[in-house]
Amino acid sequence: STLEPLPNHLLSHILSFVPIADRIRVGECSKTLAAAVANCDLFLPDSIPIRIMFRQVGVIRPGQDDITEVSSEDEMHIVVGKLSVEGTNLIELDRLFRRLCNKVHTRFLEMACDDMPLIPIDLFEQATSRFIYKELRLNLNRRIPRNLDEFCDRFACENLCLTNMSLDADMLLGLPAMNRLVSVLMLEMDDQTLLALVAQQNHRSLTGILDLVDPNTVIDVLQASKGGGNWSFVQLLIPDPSLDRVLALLGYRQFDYVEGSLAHYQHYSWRLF
Amino acid sequence: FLFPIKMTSPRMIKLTSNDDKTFEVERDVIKQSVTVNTLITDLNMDDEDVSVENQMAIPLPNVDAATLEMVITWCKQHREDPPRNEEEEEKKEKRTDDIPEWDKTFLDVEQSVLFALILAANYMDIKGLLDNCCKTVANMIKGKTPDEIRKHFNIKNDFTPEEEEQIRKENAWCED
Repeated sequence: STLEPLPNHLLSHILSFVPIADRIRVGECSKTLAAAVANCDLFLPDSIPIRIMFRQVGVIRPGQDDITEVSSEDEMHIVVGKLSVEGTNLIELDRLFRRLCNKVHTRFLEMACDDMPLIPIDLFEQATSRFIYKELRLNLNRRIPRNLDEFCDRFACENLCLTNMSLDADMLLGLPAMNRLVSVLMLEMDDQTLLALVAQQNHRSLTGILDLVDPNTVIDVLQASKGGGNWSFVQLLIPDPSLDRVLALLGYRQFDYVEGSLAHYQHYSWRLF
Repeated sequence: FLFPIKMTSPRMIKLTSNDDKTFEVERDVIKQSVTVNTLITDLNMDDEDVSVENQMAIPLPNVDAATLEMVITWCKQHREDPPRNEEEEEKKEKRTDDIPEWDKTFLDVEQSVLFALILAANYMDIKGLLDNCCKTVANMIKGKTPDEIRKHFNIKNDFTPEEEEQIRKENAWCED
């Protein structure tokens, strides 16, 4: 074998150039490589967000949201970087957390609650207590969970990502949780709601994901934000054809972070971060 | 008026491989090796009064002649490369599709040669060469199943079938 006798740091260096799934497969080749991969300490690079998505069919009832109490039949969906497992039960999820907890240093820990009336707060606690992360995001689809305020009380959630919301600006701004959050991520909102949120002064900083097709709208929003909220971090998710134009209009150095979507994603995020 | 033109030949450095073969290489070329560069500075070998004939050869006990020759060829090819900023390199996206064409051809060698180059580049601390060698190996790993990786790198599977099954089960979560 040519790979096995390599010193650990060189094997780590090679593995740093391959995706996580390939690193794990190398560890499956032999006992020597399994030990070497386990010691590599590059399980997940710092820049890869961890996304844990809780997708519940039905309702999590109060008192049932403890990890030991929820039935393993419940459908769970975990996304770690680009890797996903479907149908993982809670015992496996717990094992996964335990296995990863010492390895994972991640910039974002992103929790997605897909159409859940209640956020499984204890599950979040379980996850957040194990991971070393710098920023917690909560993604909500379609509806505002009833315990969002409790969630905001218990977690230093810096980002709330609201997606596919069909709420008007007044309703959104009226949510008590909005005032507790440091920043809000907005995705796929209509221009009016977006501009109303941008103009709101309550946030210490406002983070925006603007998934808008029309670059002129992006410019309007960003310009409005300069006079209103204190935007320190801007994440742009813009369809490819518009990205170059928007970036040219903005000037590359105006924001701390600009992220393009699809094919541009890696290119721009790395160049501009 | 005619002024005598002083012809300055490039400063040469002698390197000796572990099988006692000595190579003369331009100072400017071998400066890409941090190990050699440090030795040259520490041993005051930049003294222009010492001719190459009287100069001490730098021993490289971890590198054989064939590999050292390849390392020197790579350094010659990359002598004009801008100096690397390691901090910037760290921040860069890790990718393997940016190996220069010349390097791709140069590193299209038997695995034993490639791995000898990795060890030499690591010992001589030549980051550019090390990166491109490692990327070449990474490209060999990418997308392969454990069986294919074993076959490609001639790795003996020392797991029992039960152990293998257990590992596969444990790692199932990472498969798409």
